[in-house]
Amino acid sequence: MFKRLTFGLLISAFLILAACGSNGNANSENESDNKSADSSIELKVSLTAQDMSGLETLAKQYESENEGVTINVDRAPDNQFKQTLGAQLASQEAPDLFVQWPGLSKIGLSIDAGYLADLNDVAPLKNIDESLLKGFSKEEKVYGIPWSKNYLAMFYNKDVFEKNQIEIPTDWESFLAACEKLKAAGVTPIALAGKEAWNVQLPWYALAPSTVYAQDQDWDQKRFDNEVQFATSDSWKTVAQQYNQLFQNGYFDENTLGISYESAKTALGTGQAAMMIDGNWSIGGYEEIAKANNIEIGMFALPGNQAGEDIWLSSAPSTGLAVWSGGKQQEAAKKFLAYVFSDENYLTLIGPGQFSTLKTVQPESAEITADIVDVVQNAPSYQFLDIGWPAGPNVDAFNQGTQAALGKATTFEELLTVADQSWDKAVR
Amino acid sequence: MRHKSKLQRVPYTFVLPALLLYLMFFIYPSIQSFYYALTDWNGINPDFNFVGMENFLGLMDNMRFQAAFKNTLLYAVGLTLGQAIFGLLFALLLHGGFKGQSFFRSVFFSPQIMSLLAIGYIWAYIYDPTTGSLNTILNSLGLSGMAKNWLGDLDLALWSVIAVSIWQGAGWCMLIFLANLQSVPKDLYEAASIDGAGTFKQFLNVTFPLLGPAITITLVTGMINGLKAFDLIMSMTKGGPGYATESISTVMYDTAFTRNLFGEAQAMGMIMFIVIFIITIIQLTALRKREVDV
Repeated sequence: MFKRLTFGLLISAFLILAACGSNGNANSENESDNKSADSSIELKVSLTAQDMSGLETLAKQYESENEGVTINVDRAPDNQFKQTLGAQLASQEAPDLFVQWPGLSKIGLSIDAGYLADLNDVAPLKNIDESLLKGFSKEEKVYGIPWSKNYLAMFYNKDVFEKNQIEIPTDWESFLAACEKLKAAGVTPIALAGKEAWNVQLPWYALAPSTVYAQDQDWDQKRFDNEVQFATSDSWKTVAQQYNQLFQNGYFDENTLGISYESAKTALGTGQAAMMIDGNWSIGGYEEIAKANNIEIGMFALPGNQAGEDIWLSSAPSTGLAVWSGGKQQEAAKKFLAYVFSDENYLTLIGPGQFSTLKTVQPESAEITADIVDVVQNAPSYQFLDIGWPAGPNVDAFNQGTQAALGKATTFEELLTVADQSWDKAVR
Repeated sequence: MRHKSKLQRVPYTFVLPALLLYLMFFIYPSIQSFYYALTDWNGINPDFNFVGMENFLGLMDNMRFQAAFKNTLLYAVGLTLGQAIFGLLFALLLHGGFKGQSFFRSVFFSPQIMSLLAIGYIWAYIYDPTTGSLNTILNSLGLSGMAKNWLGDLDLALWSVIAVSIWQGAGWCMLIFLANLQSVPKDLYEAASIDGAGTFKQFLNVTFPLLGPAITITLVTGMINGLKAFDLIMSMTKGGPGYATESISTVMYDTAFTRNLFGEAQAMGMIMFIVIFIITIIQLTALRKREVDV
């Protein structure tokens, strides 16, 4: 018995040692392989399911224009993509190009691990607004190129607005007035999909830019430096009050926490609800609803600003294409990157209904975006909150925490304290 | 003598391939996870630090993990007792040998053959407060007072999920109990009825004690399944609203794959492993003791 035990322990000890040992020399292997004959180049590209719908078309075009080049494009749903990519990077067998999400807690991790190639010398970078590259950069170096510009909007049922003679609100007071009018008419002003934590966080994202970041764009950095806090900052308290106002005034459905994204959209389509907050990436879904219900749907920016102040848009880059630093074909990969982001090919790359990240290309505006297009192109904007934050406060306070506030288990103001605690824990 | 010992070694050789695979794909990663629970590995970066017990200590003041721990225990107990009681009831009802018996057995067992994810999505629709069929039926029956915000109410959500898990698991328990009931000798009932025992007394003094093995199986596996709760919760509520339906597994998943804190998630996994281990040992010793032989 004793012998067997010793044997078992020895095996486990050996295995643990093997586990620790295998991590050290992984990075050095590939550098010597970087030189390879240009005659036949095979590039692998990994994408999520919806990103860059035109990439396959451009890949075929590129293959026919450049002899000897083959490009394999793989797509997978988000979670599957992330897990596969993680395993591939760890085993040093990653695709040459793949997408990354912006933000410290997303692409930041891959940058720190040394997995990504510096893209500063890739041509289209100079045509992209710096604020969109911020989420993909570290210490002046850019590691990912965003293909589209995302933003949050209030999708609204135009027929309901018309029937109740409501103009698109441009500041907080007029927004509240519009909600009040709708409520009096027996319509749920805002269909908030309270069952989905991500949808519950969107009002924070949409309101904070006009209030917090309009006053102080470096707020996040100051929070990192511990100069400011959520709970003691007046601007954040204002945001919490604004959200609380929407809730206390009964502008959400009374069962909001049980309402799924799909039923919220249904309510908007049937006119039971008048507005719904969502991202521009969902435009296709709203166009379908409008068609199915024979109504018109438009978009406007949720105005967190006071009268006379600027409205700030919550806007952020989409995912961005990155090049694997361990790849053998990095130069070829960068060449292909420059090709798909060139002015001629860009619109094919992003597909219909997307907003451009290139200053040099403006896509045609669709009917549904007509009301918001001016704000998207000209208004000041601040990125989605989680991009500049460590992982933690966003989930704890503004996702599930906010659900708790909507269920009256906590208050919106207390959430700010939760956000502080979570932040401090994450950066400890 | 020597010849014999060589022969004895042969079976081990046959076991070897399976054993190696098992070691490589299960035992080795499991042991590795003990190690990663003591690091700050983020799942991406090959460089990480050894942090000792910090991950475990951090869980002590982690509100979310505590809520999840409590929910998991409630869920496991609720599921185990619920499905065992309903399973036993169905088994007793469908044991007699009447017409249509196998039809009802199939009906009660059918939720068991569906994937938990599919069941979760279907029930999420049924529970929808405005368009869901449950509230629609209640309202049309004039019972609108009973129509609730099933998955949106912080106090009710966990129980709504537990109810679905019982609905899904009861059929399986019924099957175990039915199999066990076949093995109860008829003469014991005869003897009991001669002694003047009614149906209830017969159940209490004959059936119930002899169902020992089935009770052990249903309670132990129910508890283990309950403590691992993930699929149903993920498809119905994703742990929300707030932390109302969060389980250890869902928090663990989110910690690892959304927040990239693999070390901390491994620590949660360790704790879950230890809790399941202890509870199962206690259950097995306690339940085995009360099993009786005919």
